[in-house]
Amino acid sequence: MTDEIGHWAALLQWILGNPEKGALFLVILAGAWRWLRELRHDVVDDQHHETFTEMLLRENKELRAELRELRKKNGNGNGNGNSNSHRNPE
Amino acid sequence: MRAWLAYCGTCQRIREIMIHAPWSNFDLMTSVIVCGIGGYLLFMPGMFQAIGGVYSGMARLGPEWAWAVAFLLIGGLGLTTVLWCVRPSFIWRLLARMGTAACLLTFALNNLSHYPPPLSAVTYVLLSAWALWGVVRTNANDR
Repeated sequence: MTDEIGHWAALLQWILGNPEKGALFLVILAGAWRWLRELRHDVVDDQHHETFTEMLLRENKELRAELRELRKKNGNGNGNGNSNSHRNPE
Repeated sequence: MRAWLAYCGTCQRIREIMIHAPWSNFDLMTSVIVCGIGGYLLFMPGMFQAIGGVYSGMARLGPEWAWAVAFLLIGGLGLTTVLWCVRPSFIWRLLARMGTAACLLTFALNNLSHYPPPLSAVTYVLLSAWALWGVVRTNANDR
């Protein structure tokens, strides 16, 4: 325990004795940490983007299937131009 | 304790300032300070030998003019980055903040290594702590 305290005290003394090296060390540590986080953030964003594209493709597929279904129901499109022709009269 | 911190309006305000407030104001101030120190060292030689040898540690590493040029360059980079009409890239902004933080931290550690530390040690320690926090909070989509 005492050894550990002595070790930390020696490190602190070294940092105070070499202010420029201590400053560089702390700044590079902070900058590198921020940069790495930004890189990781970019990677996560890219993954999200892929997922988003996939979601768009899937929705597009579903809508096309729905449209095909509707067309089938309406006799392959509205040939008479009446958009309400598929509605049943009450 | 956590609930009290969340309830405390002042704590929330401090949190908001530290996390969401734009850092441009602080960047501008620190860049001007670093440039000012550089200019002062350049035009007032003999500072390292004065003030009770507080700056002897820095004088050991290089002459005043070299420190002055380095501070002017780093402060200039900081000023250019913060005042540029469009947002510079993330890496430039990060480097500019790292540069100003290194300058302020050098002064802070240098002052702390002297016993008793001069009064300016408090200013430099706080400025450098904020500058380091600014480095850590640099955002790709913010200025």
